[in-house]
Amino acid sequence: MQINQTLIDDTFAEAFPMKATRLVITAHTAAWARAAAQSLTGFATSVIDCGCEAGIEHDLAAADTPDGRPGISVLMFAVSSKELARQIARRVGQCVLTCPTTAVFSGIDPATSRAPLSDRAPLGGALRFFGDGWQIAKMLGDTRYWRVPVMDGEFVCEETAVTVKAVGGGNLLLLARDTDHALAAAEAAVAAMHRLPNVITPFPGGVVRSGSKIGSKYAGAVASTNDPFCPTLIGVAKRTELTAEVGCVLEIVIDGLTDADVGAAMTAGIEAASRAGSGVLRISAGNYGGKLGPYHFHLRELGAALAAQGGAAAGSPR
Amino acid sequence: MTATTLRIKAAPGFRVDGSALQPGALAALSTAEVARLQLPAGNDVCAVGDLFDVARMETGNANAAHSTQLIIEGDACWLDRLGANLTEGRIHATGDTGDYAALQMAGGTLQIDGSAGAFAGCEMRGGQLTVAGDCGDFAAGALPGDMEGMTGGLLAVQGNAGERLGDRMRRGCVLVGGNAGDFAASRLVAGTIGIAGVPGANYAYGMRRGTLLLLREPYRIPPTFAAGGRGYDVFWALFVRMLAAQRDALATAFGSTAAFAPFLALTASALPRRHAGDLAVDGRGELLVASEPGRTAN
Repeated sequence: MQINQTLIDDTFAEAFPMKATRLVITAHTAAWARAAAQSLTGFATSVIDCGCEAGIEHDLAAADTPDGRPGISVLMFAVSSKELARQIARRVGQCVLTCPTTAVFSGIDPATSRAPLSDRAPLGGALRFFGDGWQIAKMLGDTRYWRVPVMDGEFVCEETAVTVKAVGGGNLLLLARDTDHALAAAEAAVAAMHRLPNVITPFPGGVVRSGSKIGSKYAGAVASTNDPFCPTLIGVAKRTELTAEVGCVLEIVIDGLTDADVGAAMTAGIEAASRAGSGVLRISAGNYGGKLGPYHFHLRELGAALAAQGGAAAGSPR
Repeated sequence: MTATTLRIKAAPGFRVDGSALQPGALAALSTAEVARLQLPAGNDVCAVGDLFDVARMETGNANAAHSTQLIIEGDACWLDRLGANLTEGRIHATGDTGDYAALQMAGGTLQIDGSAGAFAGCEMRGGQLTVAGDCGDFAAGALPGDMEGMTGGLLAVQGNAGERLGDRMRRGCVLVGGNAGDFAASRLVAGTIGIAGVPGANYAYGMRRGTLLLLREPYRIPPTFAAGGRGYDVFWALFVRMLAAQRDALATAFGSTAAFAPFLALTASALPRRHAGDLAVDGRGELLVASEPGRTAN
């Protein structure tokens, strides 16, 4: 399959079940809400060594937040409910509780969530002890809040955060002519994905250059460089996926609340990265032979759906 | 929807326990069976049919909020425990009711168009109790000797409330459109009480936690409450939204929200005055006075 000048590989991205939550952070100004969100989602690129994958989903207008202040929503993904709860408590405790004027709320409505519900993770229930006995619980409607006295007033947060069974590890590999084209295409793809709800791209700027394979020649390393996609190893590594004209490969990893969300984001990414003149020679994806993850996103199916929508000029490979 | 109507024939001259009059249970019976139901009356019993004319109406309204409904037509101030332990369905009393209305009610709706006696909403756990008239003493409180009063749901009184409103209340929301008697919110463990009028003497006595919202300036602030406290604007924003969310329930029950309009008109930007107490006990309760144009949040 070819879209404009970009070949779509006959392969698939393999994704995995994760546990996820959405937190809504509000503050006196949008800038402080963003400051808290950026801090909370920092060092959260991969579950391999960060404990969770997290990112900013989108800004929220004051009219759309529980307390009528400007806000921002973030998504957090972890490999288990236990780890997700630990990361929520640590990150909210260190990055939101500490940030001036912020409040934090559970952002998933159990009544409307398309993702299967999982446990409720402690939020204020874990952080309230910072109040040293001065904290106050308050039940408003069906929601229980904690009010913890801090130096600028009160830190208000919901007692628990709704968590769901989500999908992590959707990905696209953009094989471009050179670094400039690879960066431009990746940035365009990430921007297109971020226009959609329920997904994040957890790596810096949404893009990762150090795509990894499972295992290593060194004992103790769980992952190592994805040598078949490294352009400097063409002709050196035993196996390469690249041709000589590929100068740079960048990957976009996508976590979403449902497989449909991940698929929609990948489709948007393919569309953006394969625009005419993008300099992307091929779009591929990472998988493990389909043996590890239950979610398989076949690139050509996504590309065909794109063509059916009239979003791109698709054709057979020339 | 199945609606059972009990039209009062005549006041019996003694008190009757109406806790068996559950909308769901009555809907499963024929009108003749309902008429034969025995209700406790002191040390004796009496049949429903001796007290009421029984009628049944089936409506095809599948979208009704409740699938079963019980209507008590007439003044039933002798009928105690109406709606006690109610879990679902709707009871509509067109006149007064006796004591212990909605005692330990867990769900559903009890709408009283007249006044309720003492202990209305006592130890209520959920659901919604609305009283268009006044309610007696110990509303939303605890039974004598019990540790906890109301622990959930909404009690809305359009008129005045008696003494000891919300005594030992732990959770839920009580809104009073008129005044409250002495010792309102006494020994409050938690929860929310809003009084649009003025409370009587010794209000918030022994209040441990929870929120007492006053919309008129009280005659004095209890001496065991500390003035001040800032930085509660986020909580207040959530609080006024919670009050505004009661608008539909109040409008449905009372036909108009006029008595509660001061509650519904509160805005996040106009902070109330806050006093913390009762410092003689836990001291984590709060008295919010929104009787004056509030301070602008930050």
